[in-house]
Amino acid sequence: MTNDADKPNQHQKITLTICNKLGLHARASAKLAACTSAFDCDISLDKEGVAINGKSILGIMMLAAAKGTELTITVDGHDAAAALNAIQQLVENRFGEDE
Amino acid sequence: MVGIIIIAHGDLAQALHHAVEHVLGKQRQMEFINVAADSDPVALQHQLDRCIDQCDGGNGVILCADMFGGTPCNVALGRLDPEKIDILSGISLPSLITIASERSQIADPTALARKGAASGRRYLCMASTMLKPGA
Repeated sequence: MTNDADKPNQHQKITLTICNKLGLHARASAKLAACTSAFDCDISLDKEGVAINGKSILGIMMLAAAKGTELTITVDGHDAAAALNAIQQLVENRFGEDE
Repeated sequence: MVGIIIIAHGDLAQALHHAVEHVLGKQRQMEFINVAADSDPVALQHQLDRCIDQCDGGNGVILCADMFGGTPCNVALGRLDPEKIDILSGISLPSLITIASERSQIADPTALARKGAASGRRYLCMASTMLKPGA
């Protein structure tokens, strides 16, 4: 059996475009923070040089990221790849919103 | 998990409770008390005691009041207990979201109230300066 914590650290970065109508509003930020908080790795979100902790609902909201905003997501840790995949799915699925 | 009771003037407590659930989803161990101009302080104390009984799951409760010195906060002050009840006054939606979202990890009402206070200060900001870093 492999202990996840023994896996080597991964450092990955991706740029995603917010595509839901309301952007990173309160409920979307709460969903994103719930998603990121499920992982051990460090996660930061960067908008135009302003970086915040990707596990903080209120931090995410401070980005004021409207539809069309490009965010660079940086992940560091043994479960970084899985975290990045989950974040990408959530953003591309418009946080479960219709539009 | 620490319980949360919001107590405030007019309909604010109910509105804040509704807003927290709007953002974070349905909350357990969380109640509100609206304080009207004609509310009887003794009746409010009894209502607060019932809410404390409902919300305290063993880790204590934070009483969240809107304004220090107002009747809602004064009613809450009567239940301050260093062992299990702390009071945070001047609450805002950011402070409540911090408390509600972190209470599963922080089991001490005072430590949690401290985080809520820090969040309330940090996220009270002017857009004109916030959107211009360094301004």
